[in-house]
Amino acid sequence: MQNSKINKDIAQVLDCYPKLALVKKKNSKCLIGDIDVFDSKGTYLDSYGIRVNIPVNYPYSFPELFETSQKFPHIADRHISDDGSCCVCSLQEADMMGQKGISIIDYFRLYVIPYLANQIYFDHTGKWANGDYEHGIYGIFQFYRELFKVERIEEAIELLSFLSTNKMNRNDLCFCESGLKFKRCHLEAYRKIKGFTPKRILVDLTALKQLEKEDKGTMQ
Amino acid sequence: MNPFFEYQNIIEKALNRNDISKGMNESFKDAAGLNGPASVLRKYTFSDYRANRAELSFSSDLVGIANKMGAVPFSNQTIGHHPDFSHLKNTGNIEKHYIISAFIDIKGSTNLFKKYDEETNMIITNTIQLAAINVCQLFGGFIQRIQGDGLFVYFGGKNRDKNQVIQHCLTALSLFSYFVKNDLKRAFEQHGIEKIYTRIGIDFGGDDKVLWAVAGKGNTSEITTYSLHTSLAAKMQAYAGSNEIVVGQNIKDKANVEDSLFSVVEDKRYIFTDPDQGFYYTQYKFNWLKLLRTSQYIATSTTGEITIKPQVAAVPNPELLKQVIGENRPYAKFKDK
Repeated sequence: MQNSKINKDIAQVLDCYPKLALVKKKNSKCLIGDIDVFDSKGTYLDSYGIRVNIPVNYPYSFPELFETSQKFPHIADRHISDDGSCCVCSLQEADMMGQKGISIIDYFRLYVIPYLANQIYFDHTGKWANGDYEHGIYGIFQFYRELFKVERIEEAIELLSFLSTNKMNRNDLCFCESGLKFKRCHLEAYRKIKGFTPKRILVDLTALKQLEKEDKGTMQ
Repeated sequence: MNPFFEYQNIIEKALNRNDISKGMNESFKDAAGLNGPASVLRKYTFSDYRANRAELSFSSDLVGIANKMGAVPFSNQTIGHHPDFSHLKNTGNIEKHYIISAFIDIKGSTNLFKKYDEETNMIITNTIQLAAINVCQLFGGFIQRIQGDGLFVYFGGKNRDKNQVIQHCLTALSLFSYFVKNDLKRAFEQHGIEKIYTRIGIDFGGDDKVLWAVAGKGNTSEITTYSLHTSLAAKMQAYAGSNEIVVGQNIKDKANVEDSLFSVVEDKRYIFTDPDQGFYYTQYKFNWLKLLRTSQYIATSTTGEITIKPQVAAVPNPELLKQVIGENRPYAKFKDK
């Protein structure tokens, strides 16, 4: 962890969200306190008690958010994990952002505030503004189903295995036999996959295969 | 929402309708029913002001903060006669009791004469002063004296917790400073008025350091404090810059707020020294904006604007959240069993 960078970034967060305080414990750092949520017209809506754990290898890992004021039920349907952390986005997005590096202020702007605002939206409409991901391995399959625009688990496994292990050229015909050039077909999905850590891909492939097995078991 | 909205509204009426340089002062065409571009609003007069002044109040949210903080206004305030020490009147008695002294000066009102007549000047400065009086009274302040455009206010009294009273005093004067520095500043700038700002000095004198007695005689008298710390509060005001609050060491020690809210006044660290006694008294610049931004009763937007948290929070239109939510799409690592 580069101390000068992290200290500068934390100071920026504390300036922007003045009710937060930095708490240091041995090797770990976290931001604890209240955060205020406004709508796009600047109307104050609610405040939440939160804790954000800053990863040891900051900024190359995704921080963790915990809602401490119990303003909404801490259940999976409100996108709270069993460990109490808030699941602010898909595991794949978290992996990709961590890989690229994410500053703590961007984490607040892109994930903390939107996630809490989405909770308020859900409280008042009964739905998530952009939908949500299913829980656990079903959410993993949903992510790849949407990314690859496929329906079956086998297809998702096949594409994930293929794209993660092969190099593609933009102007080649796409491997999916659509007849389109790769850049006009599966390039975006390819780019995303290349942004994931090998560990993420391995975990996801394992999860998809487990789901496939469960599916087959159910069919029989 | 601006809790001083009604005060600002009066000031804006005077600024909009009474500008001498635009010849508006002499216009008497009634605004009623005239909405076209050619319509000219008639002058906002002292009698208009008197009518509006009678209705001045504060937002329920501001009253809510004062209540939640446990501030209790003094009823029946007679200037120069603090109700908890009024028994000293017409007696030769004296009494020792703590007090917080606050001197509030409103500077720059002379600039108004460039564009506005005496009547308008009076309406504007009077309204700013009234905002200060009312917010101080709401938070348990007692108006000891009106000094030109400024005020001399006491906070505290019998059976009032010292630390709590300091909190009330700092909150009231922080809210007033925010109003002058932001909302009023914008209104004045729109009319090309050079800045009008506040300078505030505050200090606390303990039970053994403040002597209450009657000054003057008969009807030409007031009940006042004889204390180094009242004198120092007035002196500290002179060291406050534009829209700044300067406080004494005693306030810092008793305020129960973060030390980071205080920074030593660099021009003159010690406002009073008595080397023979080894007494060096420090004055501090108080970061009132940080006090407001960290208050549990106030919300701060990411652009730094502050809003008093409403008594009952509401979501007027959930669709207005979509821009804030952006592309957020949550996930859960485990499925509910």
